[in-house]
Amino acid sequence: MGSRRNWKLGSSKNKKKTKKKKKTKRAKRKNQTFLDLPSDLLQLIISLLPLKDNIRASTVCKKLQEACVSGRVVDKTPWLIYFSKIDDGSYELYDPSMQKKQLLFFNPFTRDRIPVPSLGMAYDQRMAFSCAPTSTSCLLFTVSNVTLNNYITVKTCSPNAKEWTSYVFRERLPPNYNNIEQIVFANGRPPRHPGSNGCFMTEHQGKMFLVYMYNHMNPTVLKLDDTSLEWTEIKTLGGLTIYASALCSESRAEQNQPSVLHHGIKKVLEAWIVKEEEED
Amino acid sequence: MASSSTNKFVLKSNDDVSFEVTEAVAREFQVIAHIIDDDCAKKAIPLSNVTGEILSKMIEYGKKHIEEAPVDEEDEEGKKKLQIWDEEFMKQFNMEIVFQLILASNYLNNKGLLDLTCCTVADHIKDMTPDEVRTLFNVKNDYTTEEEEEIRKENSWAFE
Repeated sequence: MGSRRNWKLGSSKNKKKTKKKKKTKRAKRKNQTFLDLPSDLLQLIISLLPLKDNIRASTVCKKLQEACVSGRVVDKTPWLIYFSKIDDGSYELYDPSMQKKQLLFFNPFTRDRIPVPSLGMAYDQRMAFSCAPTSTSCLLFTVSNVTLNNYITVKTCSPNAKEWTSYVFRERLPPNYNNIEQIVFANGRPPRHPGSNGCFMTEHQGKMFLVYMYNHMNPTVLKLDDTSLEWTEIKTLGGLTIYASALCSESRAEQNQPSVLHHGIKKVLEAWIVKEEEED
Repeated sequence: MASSSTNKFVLKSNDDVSFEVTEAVAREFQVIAHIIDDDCAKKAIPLSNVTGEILSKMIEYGKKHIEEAPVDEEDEEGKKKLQIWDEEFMKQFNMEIVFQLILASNYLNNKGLLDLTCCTVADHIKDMTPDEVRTLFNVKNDYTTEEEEEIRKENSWAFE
């Protein structure tokens, strides 16, 4: 009822008020221009212009400039871009209005995008991929802290795949799982050292090192042999200093330092092994 | 559903041209849909802001969009067909008519036609020089040379 009354009232009111004006208005009609549109309609038109045309149109006249400038503040929330903690070239784009993150591979230089199937991302989701996402053999791997009944849920997929594959393992997460910042892809499991309470992996000039930590003795260091792909224990570091922590491991060639293995940091990254897959 | 295809309504333009349309077509225009819902559409519905010429075009648009409506969201082919028809439909009008269509589709509240008409104008403006836009909009340049230079300087990349 209300809408009809408003509508009729509006039209009859217009008639009374504009009766005198109407003649001149009719005569003027030929000269009406788009600038005579109600401002919301003018803005609707302007909002459809790309930015470059918007700026060019703003030099036409002052009224159009007004519409153009207000049209530049579009009702689009800017996206946030997160840079990965691991320097692996991946980015997260987050549209706050959608309240969801979109996962994709993005090359900021070529602007190439490789889509990744959507994933309900947890706050502490950790991700890694095995090789360049342009490769067909690339595998994405993710594991999250928030898991059902503390079971481990691992999801994998390849870029351009339709969906993720989930694996649930009947295995509890290690107590210091919170400290895991990096997932490292390795062909085969690094050798275990009985008695060690943790293992770090680091790299120097293309050589891979494993550092095993112990509570009451100095760490042992293993080096990966490039050709045989086997880990062999080394007794000295040859002037190399390894800084290892749960967040990040670094190696530096500092010749002045004594090349003795020192046990400096107690906080360790636990390597954990899953035993049994529960379901697909 | 049956009633909406058999019920007829009469729309009357401000220059006294009457159009008989089905309920479905009438409901394409939100304002008229409200009048029908409020049961106030027994007599001809007067539309004081729309001429017969414009109204006939709007009804043509409404009819097409009822008859050729895409089956569902997935019906890409149907959408494409209607889009091509829309483009052809707009080609017949000069800017004066487009201007009237914008006002009328806003007044009768048909979002599809409003978007289409506004898009047509925007597409026209695109790639035009400010002088060409002035001719199209029939407006005079009210900037001083300095003021215009200032705006050009601010975003010189847009004028390259």
